[in-house]
Amino acid sequence: MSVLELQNISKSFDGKAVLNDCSLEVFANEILALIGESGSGKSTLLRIIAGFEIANEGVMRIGEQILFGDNHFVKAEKRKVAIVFQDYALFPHLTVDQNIRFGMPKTAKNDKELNQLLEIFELTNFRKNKPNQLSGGQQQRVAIARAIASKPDVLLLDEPFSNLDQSLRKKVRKEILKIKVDFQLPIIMVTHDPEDTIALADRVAVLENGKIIQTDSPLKLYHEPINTYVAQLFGPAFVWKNKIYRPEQVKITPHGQRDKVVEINPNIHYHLVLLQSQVILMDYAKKLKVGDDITWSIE
Amino acid sequence: MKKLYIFHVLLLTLSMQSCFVDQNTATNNSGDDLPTLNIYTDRHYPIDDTIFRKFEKQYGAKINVVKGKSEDLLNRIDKEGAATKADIFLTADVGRIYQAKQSGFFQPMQLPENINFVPDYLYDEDGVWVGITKRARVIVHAKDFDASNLNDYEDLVLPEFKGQIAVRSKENIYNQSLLAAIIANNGEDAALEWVKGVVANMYQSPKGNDRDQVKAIYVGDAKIAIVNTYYLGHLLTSDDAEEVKAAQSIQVLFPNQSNRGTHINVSGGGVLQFSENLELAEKLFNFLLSEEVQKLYAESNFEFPARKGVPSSDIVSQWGKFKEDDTPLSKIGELNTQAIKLFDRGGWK
Amino acid sequence: MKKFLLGKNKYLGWLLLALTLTSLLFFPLIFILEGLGDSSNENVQHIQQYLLWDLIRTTIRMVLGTVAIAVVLGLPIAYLTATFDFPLRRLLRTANILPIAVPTYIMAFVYSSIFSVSGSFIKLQLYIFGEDFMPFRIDVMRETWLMLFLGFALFPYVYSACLASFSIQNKSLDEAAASLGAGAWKRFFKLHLPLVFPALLSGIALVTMEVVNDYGAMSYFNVNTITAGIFQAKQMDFKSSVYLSAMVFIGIFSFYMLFYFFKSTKKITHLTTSGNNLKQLTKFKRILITFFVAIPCLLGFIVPLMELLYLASFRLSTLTSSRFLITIFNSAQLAIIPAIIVVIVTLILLYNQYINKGRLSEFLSYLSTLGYAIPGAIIAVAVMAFVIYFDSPEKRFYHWSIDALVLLIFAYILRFLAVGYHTLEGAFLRISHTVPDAARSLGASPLKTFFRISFPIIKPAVLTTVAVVMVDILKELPITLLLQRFNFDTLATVTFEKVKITESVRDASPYALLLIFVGTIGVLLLMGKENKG
Repeated sequence: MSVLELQNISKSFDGKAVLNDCSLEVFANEILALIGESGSGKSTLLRIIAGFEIANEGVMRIGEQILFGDNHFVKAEKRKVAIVFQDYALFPHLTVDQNIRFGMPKTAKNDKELNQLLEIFELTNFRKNKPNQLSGGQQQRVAIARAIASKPDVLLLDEPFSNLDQSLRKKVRKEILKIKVDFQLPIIMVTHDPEDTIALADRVAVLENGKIIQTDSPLKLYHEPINTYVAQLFGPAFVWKNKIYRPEQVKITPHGQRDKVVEINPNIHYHLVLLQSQVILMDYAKKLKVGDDITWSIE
Repeated sequence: MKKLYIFHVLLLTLSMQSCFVDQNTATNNSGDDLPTLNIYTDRHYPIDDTIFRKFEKQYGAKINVVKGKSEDLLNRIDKEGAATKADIFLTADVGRIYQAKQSGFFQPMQLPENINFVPDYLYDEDGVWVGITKRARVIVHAKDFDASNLNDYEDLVLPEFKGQIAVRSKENIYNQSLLAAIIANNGEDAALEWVKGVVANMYQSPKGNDRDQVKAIYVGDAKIAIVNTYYLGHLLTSDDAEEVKAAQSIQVLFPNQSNRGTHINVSGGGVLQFSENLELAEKLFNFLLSEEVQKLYAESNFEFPARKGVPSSDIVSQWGKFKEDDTPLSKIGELNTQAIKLFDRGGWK
Repeated sequence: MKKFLLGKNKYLGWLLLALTLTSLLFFPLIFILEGLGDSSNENVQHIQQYLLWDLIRTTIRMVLGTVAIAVVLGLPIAYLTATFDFPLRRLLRTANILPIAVPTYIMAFVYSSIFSVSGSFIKLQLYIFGEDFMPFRIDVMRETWLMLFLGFALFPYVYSACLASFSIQNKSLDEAAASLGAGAWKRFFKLHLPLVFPALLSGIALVTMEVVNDYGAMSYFNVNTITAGIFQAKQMDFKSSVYLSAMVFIGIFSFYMLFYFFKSTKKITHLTTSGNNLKQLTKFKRILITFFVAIPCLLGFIVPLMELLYLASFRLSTLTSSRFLITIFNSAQLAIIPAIIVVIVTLILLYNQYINKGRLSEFLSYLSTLGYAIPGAIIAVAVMAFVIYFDSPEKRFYHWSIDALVLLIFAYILRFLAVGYHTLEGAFLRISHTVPDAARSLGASPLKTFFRISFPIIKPAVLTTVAVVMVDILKELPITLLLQRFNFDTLATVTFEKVKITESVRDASPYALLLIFVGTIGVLLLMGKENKG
């Protein structure tokens, strides 16, 4: 059963549509990556899930609880949704301890839990430091620890890798995978980076111009992209756009349905996409050197 | 942390409370012990405070004062209506006194017995206001200036004085009253001609205060100025040597001695309509007209006492005795607005 | 469904609070319109016939002249200070704000005193060249000189706005333009000037409002702006000013609303600052710049201060008089309470804008700051009329509000909210909205988020804002004169009384000096915090 469910969410600012009829499900113990170009609406969607924005239409639930829709609106502070912002949004006047403790439920186990979290995120030595005394990676760990400390039902990560260098990136990826397993949390991660997506995501939702155009596992997205944009997301792909002049020699099946055949209209343009991994050039004559230009054609 | 902020807020409200209460005692004790008079005054002189303290001592009363511009105070009296706390309105110009009377702000009072020593043009015929001190608007000129043709205010328009007159702006209430007196005596048309004539003779467009006009003569920019006597007194007793020299460089001329006399303005006031302290207010006016207090006004502020027989200060009396214009001041007050209009029509800035 | 949900995400408590505060600050101003019924008043007709055009022309002239001086000094000096390295740069950066502590009327009186026949300018010449020297005189009692003096006093409004804007302009922008071959002048006019334009405009707006509001300096120089017209109407009949006031209010209000729509369509977001790499210049140029940059603080602050110190040396006894001490106490106490309330109201408006995003919240804040554009004398009358209108026949509330200074404080808040708002807004906007967002997503209510996150973070700016608003309240005159209670003096009213009634700048000097002194402390506090931040 899905933990978080979005149905037909639409949102516009000042008459300009930002999100258009978006539906999404996230399951427990799953990382869903929201991927798209800047301006595609992914941050807005995240803010709607967190409760900072209100959608114009649609329904949203966590488990059985309706957070939005059907005349309900649960405010951000009442949602069990924690968010880790791109800029971490640490409280600059509070120590690491105080930051993490901020959202903790008031129970007797507090100190034990706090210490556990500090340990998991390797922050024990910095617990009395203020955020500006920490490195970027440490700051991010505080932000994640803080989010988890509030015992959310859903964890949102907004561009978690954008401020990190390569070596830190790898480390944080591991951490996020560990969180998924340790805390059994559904995680929604906004990113524009395909590499992170492939490394982490169980499923990927691709946003383009405010629409979720495809939701699938990374592998499926790669092999069965719904359009040229998705096709080019995870690496170079060759795209041709042309009319089909000899339709009788070509067979097109719809997305995901190999036994059906689409009738070809000779008057419109089709895209032919060839993924890099699907192209293997063999140099039987062994005449080519590395770096040589070659020409080839499809017949 | 949270508790600390609440504490801050508490502290703040507490301190606000305490300071309000603290300062309220000034007006709150009216019912408790001392009979109180509340005065709205446009007389901002230190001597007034001294005199009020004297009265408080002598009569076991308390005097509270709001010092402001007459126009603001009148506005406030009007807005406050029957609810006003003020008992008395004091101002330094008959035009404002007249406006107060016309607006029905004053109640009739039992004229104090000391009024018998005051010439009758210095108080209201209906007995609603009383003049306390006088100021003469005189002509001064450079000592080396041939003023043989300069006798009256009316002479200021003579072509021979072109570019020689220094005088303040039309905004100055003493100028307004002077023009009102000229309207009262010569009629509106003649007064307008007079305005135009003086404007034509000014050495520059009007600026500055009375002291500045005297200084203009001192440095030779102008030869003639129209000023109030009590500013001359202040200049002569200034601790700035240059100001004293400036005052010494001029000759005082009391205009219109051969006819109606020099224009005087009055500083005074009346009891406000809704005051419930009429009796004490009457006592105050009687006190202000007493010989002792009149002397104080004369000596420390160089004003002319309203009370006959009280000498002016030595500095003022050295200019000699003079004949006063005895046009009823209420008439001059009435013409104040018209005077302002004539200034505008005649181009007096 | 869309309709039904509208407002469900709103925090109605905060919105209502902001709405209430805004109404409270705006509603009294409507009472100015009472005066419209008085158009047939013959005094008003006289003013319209003989004066109105002249008053308007003079007002425009004074505004243009003063703004020109403030801009000619403020804009290049802000640019030079933000861009180049020169001797005394850090000192002058702060010192050039100080003229703001000198009220316009004190600036005018002090300068006319310096150049008067008994003034320091003459005395200095006689001292240097001997008693027989025929001293050189300058007649400064002219409109053009007044523009200059007001320009000195108001220059910091333009300077500080532009300085802040220049300082956060991205240095790489300039470098990019330079690499494309744009010369220094071209870069200034084509690149920096357009970027600084919004800040410049807000500085100019402040100068304009101050010039229109000034009465003391204008009246002494007999420069008749629209405020003088209102005063003359009052003289002719204390009631006939209400019509003119109403007209002025309508004019200002329309202008203010126009500006809102103009402003809201032209929001320029700045790039973040990148390092403080100042440009180096040749020695000759550096010294030249130092001289130029030192002009405003020298003429707008040091010179008037020296003159007042000199004059006050003749009035040392005043410094220990009980009236002086009581006045200081009164002024300080009177200024701090409204300053604190201004900050609280500002915080509520700003926080409401954060928590209830949207046009309505923005508009509420904008409307609340209208008071600064309206002359103080008009505000005072409006506030009085407002309270009296709703009071019982015995006017108990009115009397209490006068005696407890509540009405005066209310009028101050109405007038100076804009000052607090604009000072604090910058600090508030500098906190990323994600910080309070994070707190809320961790389950903190908006109230808890405000007290434990937003407020503590901007606390330093809160203190400086209190100081800045205090400075403006200390300088305030017309409202104080109209709404004062019995037996009450402030530094401003006594300064005015001495200058205007006894015509003695000397008598006024200790009070004026203290006024400037307190203001200076406020400004230094502000700058200290800004340098740290």
